[in-house]
Amino acid sequence: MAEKVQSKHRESFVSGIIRQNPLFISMLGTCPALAVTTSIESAFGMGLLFTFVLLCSNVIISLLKKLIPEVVHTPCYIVVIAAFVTITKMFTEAFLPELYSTLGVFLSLLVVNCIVLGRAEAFANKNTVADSFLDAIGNGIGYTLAICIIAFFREALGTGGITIGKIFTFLPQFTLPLLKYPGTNIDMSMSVFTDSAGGFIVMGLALAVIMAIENKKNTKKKVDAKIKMQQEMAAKKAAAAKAAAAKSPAPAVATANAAIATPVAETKKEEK
Amino acid sequence: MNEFTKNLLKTSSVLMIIAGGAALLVGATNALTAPVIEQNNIIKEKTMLSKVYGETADYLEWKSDSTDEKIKADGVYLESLSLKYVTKVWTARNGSEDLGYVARFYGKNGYGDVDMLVQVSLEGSLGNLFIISDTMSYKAKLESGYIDPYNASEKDGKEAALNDVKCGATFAAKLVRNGVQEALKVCTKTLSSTALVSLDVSLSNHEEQTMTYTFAEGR
Repeated sequence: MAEKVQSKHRESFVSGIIRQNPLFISMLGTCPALAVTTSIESAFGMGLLFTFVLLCSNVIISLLKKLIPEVVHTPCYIVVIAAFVTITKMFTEAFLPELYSTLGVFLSLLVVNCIVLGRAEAFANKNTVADSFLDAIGNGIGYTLAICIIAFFREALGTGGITIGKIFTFLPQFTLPLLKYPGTNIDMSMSVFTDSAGGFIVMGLALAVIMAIENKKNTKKKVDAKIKMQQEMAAKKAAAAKAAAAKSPAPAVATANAAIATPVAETKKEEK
Repeated sequence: MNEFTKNLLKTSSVLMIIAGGAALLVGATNALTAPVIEQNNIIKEKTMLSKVYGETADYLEWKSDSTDEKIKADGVYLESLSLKYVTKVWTARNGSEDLGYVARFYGKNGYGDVDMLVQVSLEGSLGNLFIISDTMSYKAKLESGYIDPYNASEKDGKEAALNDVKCGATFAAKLVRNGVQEALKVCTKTLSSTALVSLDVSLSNHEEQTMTYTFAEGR
């Protein structure tokens, strides 16, 4: 029983990071993902704030799930989410003004972010507080990772380096040169990547890579299943042939051996 | 009590509890963060003001309770207006010599808001723009395509640069342009409380003209 609960907790946490990644797999929350990924710092900041809002709203909605009548659950979720977004906005404006200014209107738009509302509707109102908490952490990490990957490529390709300390002013400011070296003629940066078009290009490429990996995995799974099925069938045929061999020995054994070898060889050929 | 009334009471009380809880949380956070935000704004305003006419200049805000007679008169004039964008005006002074004016304006539309300072000379010509905050969704386009070229333009070309709002963030640029035009009228005292209506009309006429021009050009 305890193992089952533990495995459910693990599943709630892990699925949001890779297998059910909100951005790359479920394709949710793409608008802010394209808008705030011009620098890795703004993407990381957005990811943190998103995780905080998702965490708070998931926990509160999970706590109140029995109290909220079915007919008004969506307005109630929106009120809860809006309250946490407003709180986050106020804290960011007070203590991280640079991040607040960079995220701009996209911070307020978290209220209508489909991941936050989607997790509340699809998960938090059906599961325990612990599972909802873990689901929020998993989805938050998954979303943060996804937008940070996009931002890394956009910033590196668009500006020629990665700058830290511009938005998180409490960190020492430094730029890691990757494609552009100050003081030299080397500048391979392409400013299109900092524009909206660059966001679409990087996101499209990331999705293509993920789809390719997914397809490869699926093909391998299918081939493995086919081999297994054919081996089982061959084993059954062999057993039948052996039973027949008991009556007339010599030609039946050869037939049984051929029955095992042929389908496996055919499947391997197909796999190649 | 019948089933309908019971349901009605239950639903409304749940909604009230949730809304009340949310309001309390937001209120408490506001009480906690408002002084910090206010302080940040003051610091940012001071930093930006010092960039307009230099750190050595004094910036006297137009207020009707000022001890300086000239500033007091300006303050009375400012308070008599009902303005759409301009929130504050200062006279920059070095010793007894007036250097020029600085106006702060704030505008908001569906894409975010802008809070800026504009420099106006004593003769009534436009100077540079200084951003206090800009939360526009097309922030980068606004700054690189409109504010930077405006600031880089020569004194004679400021008017043309201000009206050239085609930058990839046209709505934000129009908002800035309207704010600057109002600030210029306030600083040059060409605006009276009744003149605000005519300013709005002239701005909307200008917008229509620009839109017609853009449309015709597109065709």
